[in-house]
Amino acid sequence: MTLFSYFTIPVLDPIIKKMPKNDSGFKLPKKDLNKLYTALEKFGEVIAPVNDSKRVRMQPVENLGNVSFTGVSWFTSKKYVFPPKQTLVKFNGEKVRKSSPEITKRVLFGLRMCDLNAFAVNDKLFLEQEPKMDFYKKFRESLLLVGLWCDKPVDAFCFCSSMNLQHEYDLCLFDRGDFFHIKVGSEKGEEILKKLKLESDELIPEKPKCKTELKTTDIKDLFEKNEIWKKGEENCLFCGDCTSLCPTCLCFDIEDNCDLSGKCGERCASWDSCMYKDFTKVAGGHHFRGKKIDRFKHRIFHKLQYFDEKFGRSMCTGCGRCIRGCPMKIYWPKIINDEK
Amino acid sequence: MMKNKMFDKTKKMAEDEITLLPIESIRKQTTDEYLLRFKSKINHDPGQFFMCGIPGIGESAISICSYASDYFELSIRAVGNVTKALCALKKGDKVALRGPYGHGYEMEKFKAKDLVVIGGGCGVAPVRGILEFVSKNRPDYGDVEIFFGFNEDEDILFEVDYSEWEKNDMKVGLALNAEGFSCTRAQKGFVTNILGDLQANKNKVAFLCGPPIMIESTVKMLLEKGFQKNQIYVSEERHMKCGVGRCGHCMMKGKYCCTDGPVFRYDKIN
Repeated sequence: MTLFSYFTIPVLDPIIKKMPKNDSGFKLPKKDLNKLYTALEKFGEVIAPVNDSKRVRMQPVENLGNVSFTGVSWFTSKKYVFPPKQTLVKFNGEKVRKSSPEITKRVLFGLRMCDLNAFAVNDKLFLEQEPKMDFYKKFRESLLLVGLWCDKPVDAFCFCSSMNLQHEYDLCLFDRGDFFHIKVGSEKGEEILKKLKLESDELIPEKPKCKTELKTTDIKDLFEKNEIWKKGEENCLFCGDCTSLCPTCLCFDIEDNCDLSGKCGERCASWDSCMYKDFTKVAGGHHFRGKKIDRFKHRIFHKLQYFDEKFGRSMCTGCGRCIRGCPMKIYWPKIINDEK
Repeated sequence: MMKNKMFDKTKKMAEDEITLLPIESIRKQTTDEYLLRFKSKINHDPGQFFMCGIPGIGESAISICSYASDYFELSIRAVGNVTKALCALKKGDKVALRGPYGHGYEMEKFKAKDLVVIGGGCGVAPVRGILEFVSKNRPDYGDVEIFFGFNEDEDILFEVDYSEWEKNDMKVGLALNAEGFSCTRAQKGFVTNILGDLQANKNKVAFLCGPPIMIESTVKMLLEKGFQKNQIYVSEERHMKCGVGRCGHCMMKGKYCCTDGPVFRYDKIN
């Protein structure tokens, strides 16, 4: 008999030990940025947004010189905690054994508040309820999150000022002209900064005012009003771009891949999308969300209402990627705003 | 071999694990439905389910259709890839199991109540657990009325149990929809057609399981008869992948069918 668990490990330490949030922080002159890089590099591989001719992408960097301090990465960083395809178990004949992911310690540098809050949202789903997901926990523990504060919105698509975001980071940089103000959000971050021996500094950060807004996340009363959602549904291609770009969309499929003998292979969790028709298909052919409008509504209601009911915060962090990356540019907050 | 192992509903889900368990017996019930029995110590509620699979093919959520402490039975209809493979297995072949998962029928809550048990097609499997539980604790419960609906003679499930239940003072009603059936206890029609004599009263609770269309029409009928929404318990079916409330496939308006359900009190979901 083979016993193993692939969703859980018994240790229940909280990953982020919360630090008191206050106005204090440290001062890092911009010319000393490389000192910070050296300290971060000691923790692990540094991944940062780099302007790659067409798109800003998260990629490994060798210094902080070519990091984009103005752009936001097109893709999210969720793949660093939940790869698009993650092996859960491997099997060989009747032997089934748990598969542990290979972990690289990484520093994610230059994440915006929306992305940092997305990690907090995903932590709620995967770590703050039993069973904790083993591979997610391992990936998550190996990350150091270094934020970059938005003084002004990145573009016209994001609407984070409507989303009540929290300070969720290990370290966060605030651009103050010729120096960075750095705030510490965790013991992990404090550990890094201790070695740099920086001057202390004070700053009460101002939230950016986004060009667009979502008037309310309380949309319970709009569920029955199919006529308003029709505006979005009619344009929607159900391509799933919004869900793959969303930093908190981590619905997944579990599939078995095996060799031709049918005996050796692995069971994987891979990203899935509630926008696809087959997402709710059961054997026998019934689709529980077969209608397009039901799928269109489901994504938005999961983000704003269902997750809030269960975990006490909105799942959407207002990063705007689902609109920025949408081939039809469906601006769904407008559907809600028009009714409120 | 199974000495130290127990499938336990009270066990924290953190203990979640796959167990390869050999099939103790397999019995063909209808043209495409098989009853698999596994020998294992188990503590569960009727209506809970196992994620039941074959490595290399996949996993499927199958509800437990028995109630005992040292074995459990799964009634499987060969309709998808995984279930077809499961039904093709033989005695002694191993099945990869995780569970029991979900909220079942918490029978303690219904002590001294009159029970109405309504099942359609392979939806009779989860509610059979209730009937086995009641049979073992008969003095604790009031009147029991059973209404099952199938398509034709060949589709009738658990027919051998009916006389056993009747001996235990439970009323069994059967509806068959096809023309020209030979089963003598059956009436023609859908399960809703045999609910005519059913009376509502405050002490009754109704348990439902079946295809979505049957649930819809039966609930409508029960409400018309005067049942309150909080007297009706529905066992829902959804596409489940992880079984632990993460993957999102079974989500129904913010509730996870696998962890919040599959048994819901009707007023909680509608």
